[in-house]
Amino acid sequence: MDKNAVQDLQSEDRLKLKAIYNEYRTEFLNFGKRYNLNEDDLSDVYQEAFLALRKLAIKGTLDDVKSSMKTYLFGICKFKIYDVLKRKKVKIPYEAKLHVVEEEIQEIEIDREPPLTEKQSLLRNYFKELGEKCQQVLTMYYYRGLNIKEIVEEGGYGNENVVKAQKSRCLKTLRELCNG
Amino acid sequence: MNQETLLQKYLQGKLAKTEQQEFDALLKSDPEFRNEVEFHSDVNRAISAEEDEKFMKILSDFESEAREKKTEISKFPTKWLVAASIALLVGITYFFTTYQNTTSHDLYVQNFKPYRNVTHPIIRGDQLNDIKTQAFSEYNKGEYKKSVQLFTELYASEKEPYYLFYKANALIQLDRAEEAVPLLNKHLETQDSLTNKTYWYLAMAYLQLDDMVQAKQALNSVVERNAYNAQKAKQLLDAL
Repeated sequence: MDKNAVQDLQSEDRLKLKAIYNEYRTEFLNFGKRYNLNEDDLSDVYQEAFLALRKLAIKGTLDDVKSSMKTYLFGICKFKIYDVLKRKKVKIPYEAKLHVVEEEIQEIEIDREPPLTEKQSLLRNYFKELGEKCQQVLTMYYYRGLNIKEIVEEGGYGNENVVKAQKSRCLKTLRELCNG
Repeated sequence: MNQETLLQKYLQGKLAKTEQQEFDALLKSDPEFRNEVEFHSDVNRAISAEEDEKFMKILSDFESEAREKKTEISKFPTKWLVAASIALLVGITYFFTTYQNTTSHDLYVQNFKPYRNVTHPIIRGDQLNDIKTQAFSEYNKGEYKKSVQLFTELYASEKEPYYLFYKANALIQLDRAEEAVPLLNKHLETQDSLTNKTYWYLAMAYLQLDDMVQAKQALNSVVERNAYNAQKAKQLLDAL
């Protein structure tokens, strides 16, 4: 997969993300029409798939993927479409032509995330109560999977010790909120 | 490998096979480590849920921006607007070369003449001229909301069928195709120079409403009558 595109997808750069979002959007909406879903359903699917793709990019899973970003994204979309169809109990129209297209795009399965446990919901609320700096450092560490060194560079911190101290302070606060 | 690195790799799902074994062994033997893993996993999941939601909001912004853009790019009357602009340009050039000493008011009146000529050829009376000019000027500028109001007034007083046609066009532009459909149907009952084009816009309105059955019917009418945009209609029908 195009390394630059994957990098853009990982980034926080709104313009770059929007460019990728728009690059495949129209084509997907056309592609998705054959499944008898309306534009709102399809754009929901597209957004969920886009999020899933970004998380895979962040995780580094996409680096070794051979297929193009579009094919991969559409594969996730397809997986999500079947979910929606199942939920809505819609029968998939079967046409010979459709069948051919179906084979072109490989369905890509994405783990369904279980709902938050009670403790996790609480943690989420406490996390939102933390200061901006704390949220930033924890997000970089947990969500974006950056290590301390990368956080120093990305966040413009003085050195690794500053980040380490900040991170453990924030986690301590979270722990206290949980236990308190 | 130290515990913290193991933990981070675990959270990222990046443990290699031997590291996984090391991790599992620690998890079994060290209750404190087990507690740590549980806490960090929970924090990880909580932040994930929060960040996912934030990102979904960004995506839904992208989506609405993309949809707005689609309605901004006018789907059809551009052809006429282009024609009008060219006519306007020719008119202005002609005007400047012919009458050097014109007032801005003269220029204003003159400016709109080419456009009137394109859309509705004969205009009599200054009073009418002004509302009409205003209506078509708003229409031309893309101020469709204002032009809808003016066309409504104009149609009420003059009963000229072509106002129905333009009002419908403006409504389609405003994503209000459901209001445009009855107007276009009414316009079809009359016969004027624009009737030929009405089937096409009726199809466009139905397309916007996602009413495939009616859209196809309208497109078929376009093709059968060899009306305005018959070629395009045929292509669309093939694609549908």
